[in-house]
Amino acid sequence: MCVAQPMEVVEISADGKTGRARYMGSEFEIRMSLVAAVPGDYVLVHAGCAISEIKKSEAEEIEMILKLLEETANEP
Amino acid sequence: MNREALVGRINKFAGKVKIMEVCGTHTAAVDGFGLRALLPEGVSLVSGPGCPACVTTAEDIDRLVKLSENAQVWTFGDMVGIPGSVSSLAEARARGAEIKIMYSPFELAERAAQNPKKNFLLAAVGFETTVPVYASLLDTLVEKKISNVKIYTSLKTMPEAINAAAEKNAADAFICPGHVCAVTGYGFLERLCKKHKMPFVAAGFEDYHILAAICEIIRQIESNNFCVKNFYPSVVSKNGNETAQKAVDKYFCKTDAVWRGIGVIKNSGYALRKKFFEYNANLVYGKTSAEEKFFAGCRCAEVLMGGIRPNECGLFGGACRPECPKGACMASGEGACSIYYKGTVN
Amino acid sequence: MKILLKHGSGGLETRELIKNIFLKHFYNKFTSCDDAASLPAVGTRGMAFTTDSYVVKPLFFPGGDIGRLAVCGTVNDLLTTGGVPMYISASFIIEENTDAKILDEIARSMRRAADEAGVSIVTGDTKVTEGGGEGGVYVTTSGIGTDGGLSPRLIKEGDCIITSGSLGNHHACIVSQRMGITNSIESDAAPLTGIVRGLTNAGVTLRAMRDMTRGGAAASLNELSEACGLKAVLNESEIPVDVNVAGLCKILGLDPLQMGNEGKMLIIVPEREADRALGLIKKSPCGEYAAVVGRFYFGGGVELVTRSGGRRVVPMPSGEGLPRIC
Repeated sequence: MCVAQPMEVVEISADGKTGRARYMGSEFEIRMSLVAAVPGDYVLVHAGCAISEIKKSEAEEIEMILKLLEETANEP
Repeated sequence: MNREALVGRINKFAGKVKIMEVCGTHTAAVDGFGLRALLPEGVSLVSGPGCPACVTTAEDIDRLVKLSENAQVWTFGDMVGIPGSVSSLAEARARGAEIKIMYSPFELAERAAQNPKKNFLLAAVGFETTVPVYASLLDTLVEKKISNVKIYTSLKTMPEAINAAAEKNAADAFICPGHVCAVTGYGFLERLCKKHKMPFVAAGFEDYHILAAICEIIRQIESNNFCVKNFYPSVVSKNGNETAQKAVDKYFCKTDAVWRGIGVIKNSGYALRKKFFEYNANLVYGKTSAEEKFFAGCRCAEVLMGGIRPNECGLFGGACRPECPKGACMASGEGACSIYYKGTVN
Repeated sequence: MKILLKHGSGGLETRELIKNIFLKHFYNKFTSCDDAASLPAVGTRGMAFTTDSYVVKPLFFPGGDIGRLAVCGTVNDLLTTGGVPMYISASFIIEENTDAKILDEIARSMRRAADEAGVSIVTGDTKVTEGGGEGGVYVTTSGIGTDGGLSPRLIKEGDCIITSGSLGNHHACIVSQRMGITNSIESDAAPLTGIVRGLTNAGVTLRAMRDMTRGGAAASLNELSEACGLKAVLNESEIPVDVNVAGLCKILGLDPLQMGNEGKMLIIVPEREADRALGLIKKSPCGEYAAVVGRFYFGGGVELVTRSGGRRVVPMPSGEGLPRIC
């Protein structure tokens, strides 16, 4: 029940409370009052609501995880 | 991401480690990716109590069934098959109750505004990932002065549950729910790690997140040096989403909670603040009873804390199957028993 | 004009309704308003007979409607025997207050689908019931055709599993419509006559075929596995899923293997025929994204080799799934 998906913000209402998000061709309305995001940003969407901002792309995240693994493998 | 390299490193581990992946969505991901088949014998993954439908008490279900006599009940789909002491919501629907399955609760506000004479009831179940969503809904109900929606809460929080599992020695290490941590931050894991001296890794839900977390846990076990790692850095920070936390704090306060099969875990739930009594459907009932009756032979309690594998329960696969669940772990799509029954190749 | 209870009472109004909507669209040389349609004999081949009911909501959706589903679904079921579908019956249960225009559109769509499939709608029934006031239409079609003799009991170890195209489109379309999600996903409702004709005309050895409707590939493969007593193993990386369907599945936590299709078949062939069969299917209408997705082995059940290199069982779907997708 923690099914949530990073999605791109494509539109945001004037009051910032709602917007539209898109992922791989599907788009729908989401609540945005819990995040500060603008069109082009990525947010984590759960049950129709953006609950977190996405700070890095998947590629950057993979790089960070690998780096973390390498660093920790080399720790004394 | 070189999955083969991660799997290779994991398979070099010659010791034994029992890792609890706390969250039902992690259980589903491990199964969906077929990851168990890639792990060496010494690495075992057990599910934890992080399946909100599985830990909703029969008493809560009974109350929701009763409430459905006078209101249209909106719920997440996972809840409809969970057995109460007499019936489930699905069975109540077959008897004529109006039970609506939702992806998102915001449509409820619209529907209620369009039908002011009709009563609506939100079955608010979930963990920290979902509580902010309910807070956001309450913003709408308050702002638009929608008075025909009541909320029955059965909300629980992870830190105390993970602590309870660690205290029971449920596992040697924990893979922690990434989406919960997106809201709460991973800071609470540092307190747990200091107390229990074992690895705590916050992970996302892709295969490489989970494999990397297992790799890191093995590394910590081998070096006997335990700490918290955040393996979902795109989404999880130390402090989490403070806007969401404030929204939750506005409407909800911490309370003790009864976890189905586990019992009372202090300070592990949320209830609506007194100020919002007009939305509170729990008030008429008082606290949930800590005394529970289970179907004779049901061992969900032990499954939820990683004590036994689902197939070690005597009812598993016989009296208790997805089409006729006797406990919540089989009734919920993210329940450990339901996922185990639908199969893992070993 | 709204359909009212009197339109289902078997009197003047029923006759008018049948004449103005059903006969208008369905008429062919075999159509009968007698109690039964009389049909010519078809050589000495055995017959295949099937029936299906359709309760989908919404009635109209991108790529199709309940009428198109009703014809294609029954045609495709008949095609799985490897024979030739011939005649269809169509029964309607209509909730009072349904707009007659909706019924007219459904009937028009059914005729179009029947012509695509090369079948005739020859008989039917109409009933009108009390409803909730919003109207509604439910359709049952039965179909007969020749029996091509295919059966899961013919499946042998080593046989290959081909899907005629991408999985989950219909289910994804209905979910999107019901949830107000905007995307370009369309139902795949289509008769697969061209694919089956292409294979049978070329003399390809076929073992069995399955129309992958409710429960998706998972349900069909579990049924095949049980019927033939062998284990089906799939390769996830070979399974075609449209990008937009895959995206919707990720958002909603759905599994394309468990999602219904209305224009996709599983085709089981001996290994030696796999390449030839695949080539022919890809040249046929609705077959361009066909792929060999797995094989049968000794054992039981259905397994998936995942993209991660792991393995899991693909169970028979259970639980509610999405209500009324077909």
